[in-house]
Amino acid sequence: MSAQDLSSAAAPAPAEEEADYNFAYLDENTKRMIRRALLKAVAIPGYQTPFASREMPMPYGWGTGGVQVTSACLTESDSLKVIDQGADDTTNAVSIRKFFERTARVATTTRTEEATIIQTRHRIPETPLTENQILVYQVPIPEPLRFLEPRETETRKMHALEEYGLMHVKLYEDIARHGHIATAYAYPVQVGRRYVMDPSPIPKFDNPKLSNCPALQLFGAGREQRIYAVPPYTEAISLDFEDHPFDPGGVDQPCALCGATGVYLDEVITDDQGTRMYVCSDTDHCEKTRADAEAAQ
Amino acid sequence: MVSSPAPTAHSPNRSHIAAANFRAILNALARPGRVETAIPFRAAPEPLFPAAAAILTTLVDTDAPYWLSPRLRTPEIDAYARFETSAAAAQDPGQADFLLGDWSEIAPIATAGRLRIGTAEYPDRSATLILTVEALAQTADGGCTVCVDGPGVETQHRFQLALSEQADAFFAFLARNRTGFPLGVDVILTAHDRLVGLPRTARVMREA
Repeated sequence: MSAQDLSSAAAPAPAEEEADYNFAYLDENTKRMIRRALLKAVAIPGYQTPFASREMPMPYGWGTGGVQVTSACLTESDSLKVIDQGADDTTNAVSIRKFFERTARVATTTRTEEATIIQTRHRIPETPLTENQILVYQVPIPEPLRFLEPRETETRKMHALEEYGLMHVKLYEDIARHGHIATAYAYPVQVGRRYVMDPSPIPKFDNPKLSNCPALQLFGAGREQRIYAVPPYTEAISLDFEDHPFDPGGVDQPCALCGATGVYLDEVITDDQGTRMYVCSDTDHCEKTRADAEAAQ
Repeated sequence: MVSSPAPTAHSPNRSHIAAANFRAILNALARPGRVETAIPFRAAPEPLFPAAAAILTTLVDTDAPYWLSPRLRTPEIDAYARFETSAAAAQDPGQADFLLGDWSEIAPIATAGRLRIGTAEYPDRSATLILTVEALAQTADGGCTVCVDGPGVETQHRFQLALSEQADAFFAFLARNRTGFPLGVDVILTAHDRLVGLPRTARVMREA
């Protein structure tokens, strides 16, 4: 047997490989269950709908909730983008993108404006989203009140009674201790003036983009077995106080690579002397700004 | 950078049809008042509309009880629904997650307060009504004009609805349903292959 024979035996033809899976990995029964939960989540904005989360071929904490939501929504004609902290080229993003290339054979892209479904871990893209897009968030802890009240039975009751005083006390204690609201990510929002919701650990800088977004926003928490949603053009107000209004924060300087302002920047330490630079967290937006600048020259 | 896998030869199968139909239903409920279309994998017997059959076959199985109105409970539709969902229709509409029928048939159940509207702690444990109406259209096409706003709507969505029986009671029911938020039922109107979603959050008004 030649080396060539060996290599072809080791790598089965892609068509055969794909035939082993149902479209987009999950079986139809599971998809129906997730789809029913998604519809109720959309009908009750910000409410955490329980669902029978499945074990996925990746560990909890790696986007199993987001993957199940994406799988239930995906159609053949979709174009999928996956980002991890704004980047298309990090481990989590690459492996989930490959997962759907293999199991659903959908087109994938890194361009925000070309994508119809964007699965995200902890960022909202800088490029404004459109009505033709669905943004799927990976959520580690869906319950915004969990660190204040560990019992699910109690937090359920608090949501039912719209009893969110505890959350305001927490934000107040931030002010008492630090002089400002020190919560910088997973900053709670109130959706449609009813349910208080954890927007997943996105930086609070992204919170304004949650509100009245033209795209449908879906949230999947795999380990915690919850799905929730913010429908398009729905208010999602960051909690605050009259005398301490919500401040999205952010770095007051342009990206060191593309020069963009008004975008979320990552701080990168460049040596052991403490030198640092600030660069776009959204890699696609950064590349596009640089390409546009080059084209203009 | 766009990388598309090699084109595949798979013909539309149940999985792909269900995925496309689900997106239509999801869009309908996420953008109330927008007309979407859906057709089931296998044609449904009359008088079950293709859109209603598509919703049934996309969302219902043994874990989600459904109820067929007397008019839809023909032996052919019953056999179709049994085969497609692997489940028999529920006898009691008060137990059903999905109710299919005309408004005139479902109105008495709603009036009697027998629809599942969820509980304060679990408002998702509520029914979805799949109502058959005479016609639905996005633009002027006869019938009355309905305006929708609320979550999912930027300013206003309008569609044309033809509903001859007990239309006043229907709009009164929708208004009442909305005031009970977060409890309530969600409504999907169907006519032939068209559907319009009216979740419990939708504010629905009929233009004179």
